[in-house]
Amino acid sequence: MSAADPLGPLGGGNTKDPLDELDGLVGQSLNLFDGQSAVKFPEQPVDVFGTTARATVGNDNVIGQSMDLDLLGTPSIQQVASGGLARSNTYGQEAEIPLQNDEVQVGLAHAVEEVQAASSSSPQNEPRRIESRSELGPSGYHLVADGPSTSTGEGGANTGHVADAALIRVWIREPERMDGTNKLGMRTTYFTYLVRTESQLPGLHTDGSEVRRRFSEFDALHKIMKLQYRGYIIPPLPEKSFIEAKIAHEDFLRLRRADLQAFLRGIASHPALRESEALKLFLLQPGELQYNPAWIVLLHSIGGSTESTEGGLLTSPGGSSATSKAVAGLNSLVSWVRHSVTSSRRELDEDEQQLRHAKDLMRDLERLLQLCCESARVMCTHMDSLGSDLYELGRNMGMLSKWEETLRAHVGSYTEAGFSASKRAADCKQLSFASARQHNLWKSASVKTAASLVALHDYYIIMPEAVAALEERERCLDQIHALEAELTAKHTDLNKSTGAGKAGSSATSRDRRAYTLTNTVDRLEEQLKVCRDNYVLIKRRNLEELRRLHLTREKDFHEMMGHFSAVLAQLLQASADMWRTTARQFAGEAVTPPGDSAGVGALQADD
Amino acid sequence: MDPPPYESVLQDHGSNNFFSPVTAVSKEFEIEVADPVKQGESVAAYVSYKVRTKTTHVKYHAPFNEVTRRFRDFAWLHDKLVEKNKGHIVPPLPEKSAVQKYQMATDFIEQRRRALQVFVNRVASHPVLKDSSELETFLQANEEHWMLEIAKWQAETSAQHRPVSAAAQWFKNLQHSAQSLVSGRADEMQEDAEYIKIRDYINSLEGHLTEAHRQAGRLLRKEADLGAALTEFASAAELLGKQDNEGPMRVAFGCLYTRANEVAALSRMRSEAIAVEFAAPLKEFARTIKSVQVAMADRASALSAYSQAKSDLDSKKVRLAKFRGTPGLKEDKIAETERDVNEADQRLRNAKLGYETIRDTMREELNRFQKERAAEMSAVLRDFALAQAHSTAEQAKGWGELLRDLQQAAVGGS
Repeated sequence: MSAADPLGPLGGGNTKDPLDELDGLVGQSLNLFDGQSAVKFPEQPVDVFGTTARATVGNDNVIGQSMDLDLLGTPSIQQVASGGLARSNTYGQEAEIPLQNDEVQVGLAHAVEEVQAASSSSPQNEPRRIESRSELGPSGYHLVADGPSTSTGEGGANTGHVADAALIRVWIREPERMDGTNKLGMRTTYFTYLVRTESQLPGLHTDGSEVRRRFSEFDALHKIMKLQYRGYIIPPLPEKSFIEAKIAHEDFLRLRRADLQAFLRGIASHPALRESEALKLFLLQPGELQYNPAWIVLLHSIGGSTESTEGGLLTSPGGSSATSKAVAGLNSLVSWVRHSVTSSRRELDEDEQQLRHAKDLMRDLERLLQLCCESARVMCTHMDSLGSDLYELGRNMGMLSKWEETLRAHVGSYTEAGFSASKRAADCKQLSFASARQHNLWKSASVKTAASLVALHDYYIIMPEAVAALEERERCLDQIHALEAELTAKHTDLNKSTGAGKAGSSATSRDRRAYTLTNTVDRLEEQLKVCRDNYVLIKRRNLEELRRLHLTREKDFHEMMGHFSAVLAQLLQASADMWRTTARQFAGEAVTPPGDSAGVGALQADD
Repeated sequence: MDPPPYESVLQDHGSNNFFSPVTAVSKEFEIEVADPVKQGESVAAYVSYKVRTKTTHVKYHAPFNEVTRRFRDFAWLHDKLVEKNKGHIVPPLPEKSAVQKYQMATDFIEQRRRALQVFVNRVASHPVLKDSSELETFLQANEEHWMLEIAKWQAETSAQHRPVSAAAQWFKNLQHSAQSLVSGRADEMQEDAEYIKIRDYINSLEGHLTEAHRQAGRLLRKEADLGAALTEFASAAELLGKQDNEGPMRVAFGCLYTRANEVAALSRMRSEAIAVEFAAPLKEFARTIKSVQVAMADRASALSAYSQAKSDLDSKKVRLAKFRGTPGLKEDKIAETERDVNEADQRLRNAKLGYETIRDTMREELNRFQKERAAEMSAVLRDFALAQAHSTAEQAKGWGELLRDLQQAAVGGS
């Protein structure tokens, strides 16, 4: 095992048997499948190597979006429409300041307060601040603050609750075009991005490191993660694009930057992934990574296994090129075995079955999320379009008003015709202004609504990664089966050769053959042990991830719906207020709309 | 409770005094057009309506009346009034769309019913038209009497050419102007300046109002679309929630589903209301402009007749003078010419009277029209704003309820 192996020496310093540990955890985590959301955490979850890793869930959602509803500015709906629900948390407006969104937070808090104050006299409840921690008790997410919340009144940044959530904060900015030459000596253009990190994580401490990275480096980091952390859900990376990069379209850059930021934040908020050496190098090491020796070593590990698509099956999480030959040989074996394994319908234990069922659930979830995303997109598009229509109405009314004014100017204000014309002109103008204001409201409504629903999109894209993580385990199991089959075959051979020898063969050749076979058997057994250990590890990680995914999903969706309703409540209330004002201006006096017993109190307490 | 429908906003102005506050006076007529019933088969099919009148008008022999009428009958009323009341702005008839009528969709029938009710009530609150015998016949005549009237009218219209349309009238005017241009008459009759400005204003207004109506239509369709999209989203969200078996996500998404559907229903209702309260009145205003244009065309042709009569008289006078000045001309020739002059003079006086009558009528009518329209437009816009306020407030409330639901679920779900 290489020194860079994040798993450390197997069994070093660990007095407990890893399998016993796993049993304990399995007993806990099966709660996942009976729909019971109150998952009991083991007192001190211990990972395979005895280090007390806190298996808590990060405060952010699964891929570390700290739900920045970057609601400043009103970017065009085209962005939403074309990019699905694009990563709206960095909605183009280069919010170079750390994304506190205090104003937005306050705005939303006010909205919710208004809504609630109008409807009940209970003490004001603040929505939980996004950036602040919540006590993740069994009931998961709290919308109701427990008394005066510690999250209020403070800047909104680290709220004094140390550790966990806001440990590593990452921003990506300032895409810069670079010109250079590639390996073939050809001129190339590429972009670099500024990566800024602030972190209190023990192994990765910095007050503000800034480095420049290009897409290929992100890509390498991603591959390294996938290799070293099999079984964990690795945040997805956008695809490499050759053509678009050349065109350097502004939209492309904005989306790319958002995606990359999301990727890094996902890693930074993952309790296991963020401990990685590769991440540390990536975030802190100045200069180009390709010249950094430690990075080069890491690159080699992925270099070997990317040769085949089924590749890297036997690479231990540490990976080394020494085994790549064995890998190649084994791959073909595995594909052969796979056929025979599936055809022999091997009995899977209960855990395996449940995990495979979980995979199916993930797939279902992905489909459902896609449906949701699509219908959300349509809804937001309609809101935007409603805004446009209101604009047109306003413009039309404005023209009507002008026309009436023209008449008035011609005939004079004090003629009968002029008098009524000026009245009509005034009325049309009122409506024109009202429509224009409503238009602004609805345009921003569509953007804010899309932003509030971004969690749907985030989970939608993480689902395939979850499936991939689960499939890592399955592949590992296949490997084990392949090796076992191979071993059985070799044992048989060995027995045959130590028994009655072939007529005419000399003792030496027999011995030689036995010797080779024994070596092979030994080597296979070694590999089998590694595989089995890997399997245990990956399975444990899978279970952890499923639990974490479920919890964060619950929390995030609950939060999402809260935001969604708050956004709409706020906007519609604003719309209602505007209309009411307009109506009053028409009447020229305070008007109580019919049926609305208290003009302003449209939201009545239901008693 | 919905804001009052715009037809009830019709107000009795009566007076000339444009500074008088516009107040609703107790109406002389309250007419209801109701109970549409399909009659007949396929191509000959039509819809009949019950027309119920409640009136305090002296000429009517009973305070309550009920008759059965169809669209064609309303058209009779309209055309007769136009014919007999030159210079007056006769309320417009709803459209005679042939295609839609054939389809006879429920929406269309309801729209038409409402429009017919507005039409007949407007006639009944018009200071001049309300006293007309045509209205009386329309509202009271029994089947027999009515069929006679209709038959007579149909015979008339097939025999004569149709009343000249505004466009044709304008063309005639143009011809006359061209003529006078050629003959170099300097004493061409002129319209008064204020009227010309108003006339130009009216002509452009129709376009604006039609556009406003189209916009209103787009708006209401968009509201409906939004409601539908929200429903879709709610369904998708519910499916997503069901994945969670009996867990809190299912509950939360279930709440979303319920509330979102409530809001969507509000959106739909809003859309339908906009059609009735905002779009339809704008359409009617636009059509009324056309009625005004008809009156303006009548005025123009009266003016042109007046003008022609004048130039005719002038030319005859010239001829008489010439003859008188010619020695040796036969006496009876001169007498004949003198008679011509007298006739022409008489015709001129008639034409002048005709024009001046229309002119004075129109002045009053235009004032009334402007004042009425200002008040009604104001009311329509205000009601629109009020109804929007009401609906959006309700929707906001719905979302607030969802927020509360979610809170309760979070607290109670442990």
